[in-house]
Amino acid sequence: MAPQHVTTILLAEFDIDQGSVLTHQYPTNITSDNHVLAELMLPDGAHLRSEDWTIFFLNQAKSAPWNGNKALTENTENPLLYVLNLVRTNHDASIRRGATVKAMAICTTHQYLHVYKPVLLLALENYFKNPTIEVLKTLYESVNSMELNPPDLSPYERTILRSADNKELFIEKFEAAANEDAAAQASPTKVDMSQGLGIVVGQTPGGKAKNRDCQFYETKIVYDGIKIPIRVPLSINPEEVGEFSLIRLISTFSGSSSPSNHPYHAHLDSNGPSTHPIMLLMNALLTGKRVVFLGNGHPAGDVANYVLAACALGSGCGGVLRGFPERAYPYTNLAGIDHLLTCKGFIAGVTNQLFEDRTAWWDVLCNIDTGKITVSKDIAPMPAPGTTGYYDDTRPLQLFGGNTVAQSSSKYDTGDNEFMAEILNAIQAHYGEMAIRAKFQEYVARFVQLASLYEEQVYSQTTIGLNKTNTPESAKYLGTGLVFMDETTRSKEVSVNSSRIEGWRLTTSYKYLQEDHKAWLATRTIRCMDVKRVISLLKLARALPQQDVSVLFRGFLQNIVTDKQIIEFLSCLPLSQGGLFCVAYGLFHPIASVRSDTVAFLNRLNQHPTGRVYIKSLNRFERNTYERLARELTQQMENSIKHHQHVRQARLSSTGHLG
Amino acid sequence: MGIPLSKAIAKIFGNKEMRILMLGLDAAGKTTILYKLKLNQSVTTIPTVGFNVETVVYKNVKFNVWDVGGQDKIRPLWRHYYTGTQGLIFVIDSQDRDRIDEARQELHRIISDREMKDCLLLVFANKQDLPGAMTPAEVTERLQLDTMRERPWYVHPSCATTGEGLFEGLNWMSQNVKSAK
Repeated sequence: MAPQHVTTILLAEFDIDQGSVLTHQYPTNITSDNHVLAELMLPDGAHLRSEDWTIFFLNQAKSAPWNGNKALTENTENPLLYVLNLVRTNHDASIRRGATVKAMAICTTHQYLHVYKPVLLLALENYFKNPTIEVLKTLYESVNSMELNPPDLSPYERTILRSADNKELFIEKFEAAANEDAAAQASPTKVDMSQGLGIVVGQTPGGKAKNRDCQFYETKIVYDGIKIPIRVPLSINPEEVGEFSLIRLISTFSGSSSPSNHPYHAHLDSNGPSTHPIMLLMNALLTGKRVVFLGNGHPAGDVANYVLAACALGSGCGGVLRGFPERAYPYTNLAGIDHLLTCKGFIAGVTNQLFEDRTAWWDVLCNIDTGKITVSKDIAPMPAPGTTGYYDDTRPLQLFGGNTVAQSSSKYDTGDNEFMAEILNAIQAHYGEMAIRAKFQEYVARFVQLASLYEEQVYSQTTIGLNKTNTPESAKYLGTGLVFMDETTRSKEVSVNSSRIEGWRLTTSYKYLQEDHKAWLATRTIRCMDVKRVISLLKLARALPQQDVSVLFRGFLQNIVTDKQIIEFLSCLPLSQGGLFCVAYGLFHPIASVRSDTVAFLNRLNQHPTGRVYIKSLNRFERNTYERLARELTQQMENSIKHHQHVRQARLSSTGHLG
Repeated sequence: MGIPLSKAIAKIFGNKEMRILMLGLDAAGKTTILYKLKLNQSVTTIPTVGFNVETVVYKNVKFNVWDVGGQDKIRPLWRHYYTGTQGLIFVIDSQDRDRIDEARQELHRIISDREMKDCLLLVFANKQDLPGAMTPAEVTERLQLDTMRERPWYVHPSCATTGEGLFEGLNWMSQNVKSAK
């Protein structure tokens, strides 16, 4: 059976005598709590506007092993459902009370639920004309007959694709998928993908790079005789739901000053009184605080987008941490409040200003109109241990009190303000959404590495990062973990982050990461080194001991061999950040064996379809050097064979002469 | 800085703020009253999904008026609005004799809530322009307001579309509110 794209279609209406009513669920009932569902589908203020798009999720109460429930079997029976809802108000003076308000919703397991907007618009229009369940049935059948056969990309491949707008990436997989689509008509022609031998740089198979956008898979839905083109995003991370703008979230809440009008909270105020509002929000999301986005009198769709963006902010754009959508309520209202308050660390969007006064309901409130972030006066206090006060007390740093020089100057400096300044500059310079998301993904990934280092130091073990125990061979290859400029920076960074790390360690996203890391350790294909560390060391362009570099490049050559290993390796080298340039550094190394190992390794990459795209994107200088060295080495090899033969002959003849 | 200053000014000039919750059965005329007060215009309203909220300034009193939808299924949500309410405006469709008992039950349910024990009660006997409308005295009797001794209450006839009676009601509210914060 073809996988179901859409599980259920819902229809709700505002009955002028009764109120919000759920009229239909097709094909089967997904909930018995019809009233709350109807209230969510008919958001506050629906009577004030002609239409409103909202998003909410169903099946959020997931079982988790640490709750004492059964082990981690993917909850296939009740997966998290994403609901896209359209509500419309039609004025009609001829009917009693002058208007009808109806809403239709699509429940899907696809994160890219926004692709259903056009078809939902048409279907609701049809329902207004002909209010029968038949309309839901037709819609259900048409959305579920959508062809969906995207190229099969592994998470590593998705990471590579996401980092670059390069039409040649995975072209072989796109063509394979296209061929499969066309398989009905013709016998499948095998795509010859990896036979580009030799060192000729810049050859791609077939050269069939069509005029396509490699970030999307294109298909269509036929509804009511109308063909609706659908673009399915290919490189979204698991927790990126819907269409949202992280840039908008950042811009909205960066304008106001630091939200310091509250008692010091160790989880939230990581940079003390000068904590950037976005960083306060980040900390709230990481440490599982209850976060509300309020848009007084706004369409529900507005607040929903902020909530989805906040999920991305906290999870590292869905690429680092998990567990955010399952506690997200992109739109909710008073009807859902009882349920909401049972959820730990929710992230909710509301349009009712009543929430602002109810400080017991939330920990952090973000007002999208004023751009102000408020910490609730009722938040469970979390002062630094041993103190009770506000910002201004001179609190000594705990734990890592060794070096006092750096600490006295700026006891809070986490580097966050520098990071935020960089982000705001990038936004001002019109960097794209994906570039900004990449920076936050990196930020959260770094936070996790920092936390792992912290665990090593405080608890002498870590379950969320690489170390000597799980990667013993790494000792040979420059070790494991984050790279710091020096020992002082290292202890300072760990120390200033310790409170929010402890806060995060209590949350579900931490538990999920432990699981994910365990699974990753079991399935990773490069087991001997911490590739991320190695790459950041190479990028730092700091003089590494020659011996280490020589071992490292030999390590690349010996341990990164298979297709999977090459892909895993390349996924740590985003094309947008220069790709292989730091590996090409080996071409210029003083030791001859490093140069020849680099050439041999690049030769190997050049025979891999994705590796070849990477090599093509090296700069001209690096490419020329690579080609020249490769030629020289081949020549040398031939010469040395000739030389050996020559020596042998000479030896033979000389022995002959002597003898 | 800004808030204490404006509070000081408010004190000098006697500005008061009052949080008003306006409830009643569906189609009683709540939203029409709200916009007549706010805009001094008779607007054509449609059923309220959720709520409307507006600020109305009258005789130096700033009224924050919350108008919440009145259909049967959404009445359970009313309770969320109680906290902090200083005045309840309960709107009656004076022509709707069939549902006056239903209205009485809802009213008594609201004011028996702990959160509402200190709030003033103003009843608008609305739609006085319609034929056969109940008089204020009749409404008072049908709502059994005489049994209420602890709380200041007041029934006033009104016609939302013309605005008759509305500001008199607000006037009563502002005169009876305990020295507002």
